[in-house]
Amino acid sequence: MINGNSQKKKTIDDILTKYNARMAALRQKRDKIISVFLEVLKEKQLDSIRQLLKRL
Amino acid sequence: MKSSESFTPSQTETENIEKEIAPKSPELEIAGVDNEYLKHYGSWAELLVEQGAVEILSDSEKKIELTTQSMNVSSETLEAAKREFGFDEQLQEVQTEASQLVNTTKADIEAVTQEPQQKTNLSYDADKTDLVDDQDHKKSENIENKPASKHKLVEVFEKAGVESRMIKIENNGEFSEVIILNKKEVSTEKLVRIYRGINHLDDTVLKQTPYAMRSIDESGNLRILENVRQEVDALVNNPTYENLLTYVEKVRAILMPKEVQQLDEDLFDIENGILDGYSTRKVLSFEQVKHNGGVADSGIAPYISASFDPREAADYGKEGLMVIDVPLSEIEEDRADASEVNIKGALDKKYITAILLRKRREAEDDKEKRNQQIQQALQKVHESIDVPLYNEAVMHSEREKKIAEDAELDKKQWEKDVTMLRQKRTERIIKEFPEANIDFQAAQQESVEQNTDVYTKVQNDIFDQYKTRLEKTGRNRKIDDYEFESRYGWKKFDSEKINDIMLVKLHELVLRLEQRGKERNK
Repeated sequence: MINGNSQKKKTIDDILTKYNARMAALRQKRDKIISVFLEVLKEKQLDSIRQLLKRL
Repeated sequence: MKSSESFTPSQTETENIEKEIAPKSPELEIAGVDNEYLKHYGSWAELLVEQGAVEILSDSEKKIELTTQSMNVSSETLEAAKREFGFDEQLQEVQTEASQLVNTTKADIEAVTQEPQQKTNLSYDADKTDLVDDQDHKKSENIENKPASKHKLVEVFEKAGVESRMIKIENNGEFSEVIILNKKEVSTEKLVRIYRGINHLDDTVLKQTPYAMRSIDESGNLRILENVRQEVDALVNNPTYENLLTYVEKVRAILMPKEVQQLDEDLFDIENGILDGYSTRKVLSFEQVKHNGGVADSGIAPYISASFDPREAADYGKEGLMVIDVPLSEIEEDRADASEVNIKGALDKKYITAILLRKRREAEDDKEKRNQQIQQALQKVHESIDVPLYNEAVMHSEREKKIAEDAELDKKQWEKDVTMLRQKRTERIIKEFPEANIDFQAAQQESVEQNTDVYTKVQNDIFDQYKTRLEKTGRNRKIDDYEFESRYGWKKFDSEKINDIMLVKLHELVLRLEQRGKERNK
């Protein structure tokens, strides 16, 4: 009888493993968005510094 | 170093490194799983799953905040950049996908736990759901009751030929014992001090290995893959696509079948990252982030997670905190102001300086007090062993310098990596779609003339061929009317976003429609 619960625990582990893999892919997607955004931001910041220097 | 836990299911103390959920433990093999335990396990799993969706956004906010602070960006510039980039919308898309994933996973877990439960026939009191935690506690008691000079870990270190000594700190609560590992040689180069939580007080303390050197069988038993150490070392010290492939080919032969499948999926993701413009170094660090703890894991990531912040690392080590002093060349990091850091490959035990042991019976609820105790214990380490550490300011500039140097190297390396990868992918799709009848040499020549790369050129050619066939199936529908199921849901066959999976799905669709057409015309 206990084997049934052991099997259920194993099933939960399998669900968690799949969840982890899919969440990891989402995290990777998020990190790519942040990484590209930070590049854009860096450019924008440099641009505003350039504008400021021009005015000076 | 990700994720935290409020309820930890059963764990084995022996062969498993950093195994937070033990899919199968010896205790359970003997005793089985009772109803109450299964209920708690299910609830804990659901909590863990919910936590993932919360972290996905809070982590990104933290990352943006830290970087914008260090860049001295005004809130106006930040908001304007966010609007232009569509930052919030893009993140919202990820959040929506994460929430959907959480909901379906929770429903799956509930479906398992709500099935009619098995009656327990265990001999112990079924109300005591914390059986294993209790055993853990007893283990801790035993350890703590031993004379200070012969702590279990000191014996482990002795056996491994590492001299160590125990220091007691009066009135320092949970962190009142420190083991100092004597260094055989004094480092001639400056070092950085980083920290890592530990969950098992046994010989695994000296054998910290990256995911890339682990294999976990179906019963959850861990194997350390010593025979890929050389390939992992080569990869972390020279992160090129070629070195990655060398590692993958070597490890493929010794992994479990399920792991091989995962390995191929991970490699595919890594390759896509390189095609998107990321260096091999960068995509390998993305792989490390994939592992958020919580499940016993192996994988392609060749690093060990650590932190510059001892308090953060302490959250991940219920048995202790490892103090590690390494040269900068032994770590990999994205930003000089980040606390999270990756150790390259397996950790050489000579870099371990001390272990702060935790007396969980004296655990402090007040985080501030706990942090003071950690600081106090670290002060003791500082007084007890002379290590040539960088001072804070120099360390920061050296970290920045190294990141910049690596980025420069990566730019040059990326060109080589992406060329090699495009060639490999092109050869593969030419082989996969023989009816497209594409000649590699000719395609390469044409790609130069068309100012594109050979892989994109061949993908486009195959796509166009199938598009033409699809639109000839006579159903008066265009390619835009069809969708296919990708890993991220249903997508259109968009000629601007062609990928290999899309080509496979398009091919299948064309064959299906052509077959139906033939049947109709019979």
